[in-house]
Amino acid sequence: MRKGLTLASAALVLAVVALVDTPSRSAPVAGDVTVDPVHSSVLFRIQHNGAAMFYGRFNRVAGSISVVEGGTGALDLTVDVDSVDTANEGRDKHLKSPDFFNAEQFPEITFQSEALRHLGGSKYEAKGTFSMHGVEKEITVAIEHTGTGKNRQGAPVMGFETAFTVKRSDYGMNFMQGPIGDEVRIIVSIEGALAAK
Amino acid sequence: MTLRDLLQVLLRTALPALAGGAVALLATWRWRSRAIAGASVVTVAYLAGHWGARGVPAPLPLDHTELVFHFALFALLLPLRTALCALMPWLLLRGLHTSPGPVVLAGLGAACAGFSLLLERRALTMRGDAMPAAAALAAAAGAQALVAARSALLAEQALAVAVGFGLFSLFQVTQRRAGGAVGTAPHAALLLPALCLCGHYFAALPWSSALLLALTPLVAFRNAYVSAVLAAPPTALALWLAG
Repeated sequence: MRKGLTLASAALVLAVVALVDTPSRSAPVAGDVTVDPVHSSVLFRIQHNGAAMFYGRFNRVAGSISVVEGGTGALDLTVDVDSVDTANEGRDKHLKSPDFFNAEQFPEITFQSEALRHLGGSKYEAKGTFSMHGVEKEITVAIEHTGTGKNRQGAPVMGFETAFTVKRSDYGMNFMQGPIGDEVRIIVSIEGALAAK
Repeated sequence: MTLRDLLQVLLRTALPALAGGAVALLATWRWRSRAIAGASVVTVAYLAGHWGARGVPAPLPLDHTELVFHFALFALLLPLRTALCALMPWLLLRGLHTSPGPVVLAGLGAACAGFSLLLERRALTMRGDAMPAAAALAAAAGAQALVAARSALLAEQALAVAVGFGLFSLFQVTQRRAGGAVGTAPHAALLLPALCLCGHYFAALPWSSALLLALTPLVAFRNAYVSAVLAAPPTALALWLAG
């Protein structure tokens, strides 16, 4: 009985320590983060034939996130359209053609925001310009600070994730509407090293 | 390609066929000038096909491959055709993120202008009477090559060109009178090279295939059937090269 109470007390203490030791989850993080392209992911999902959700990815992403004290900041992300990868070479070529992205003319998808703000906890919001296929639109995306850690060199790294939906028809991408859905869910997970001050 | 996709493509092909056919009927009934008839049939058929596949583009379209719609209209302005042919590569390719460079653009412009003059000269003689038949075959093969180059939209545009030339060729055969090729020469000089350039620079059409398809109308002869036979080897080779 006594042994059981001791274990319970130890677990309670550990839980309190764990909660106290994670200030980054409640307070806004601060610093300039440069996107690590090797450990960041850009996925997209679209409905095919009105049935399954098909997933693809872009293998090259660059950019930065900058958060100042108080939780405001800026965000700049660039995705290389030529790096689209759907595990099928023919389909990747088709996606890069004028039927879809027209990668030769519009080689980048970008999101630029000067209005990043902390909402509380790990939640952020960024209002900015999303540009794809030569069309720019103002959108607002919810961003989550997924964690803070250290890389192999011991330098601090941070992670952010966002998921948002756009209609490809809004960006002049109308080929095969119907068999291929209009709404595209974009999921971006970014890891980046915190710049030394 | 599913059956549904195939039916959609056929429906889109029906549009240029109907529109171009109406103009061909009008030409049979009313127009004595076969040059105007030829030019109108190809233009109307192409515009209808483009409208069916991609809608009507903006006056200054964001996507430069849509400029072919404007070229089809401007091909009717006969006095400006050579200048337009010279400018066509620059107008299309200036939108590329990685520009081919001023030397290549100038070279392509000069080649297109020269090709236009050559084609027109041939169309003016009896030996080039059946140019629309050769152009129709080249455009139809171009559509297939563009499918292989992974651009269905460009392929549908090429199909609309093929329908336009094919209709006028049919008009020539059924009316049992030659002529009119000179009216379609600007279209052969503008639309085919424009689609081939788009296919090469914006999709994955090999340059060898693009070159063969664009130049095919030059093999045109007096007789439509002979022209088709002469145009078959280069188009078949272009298709093989396109994979």
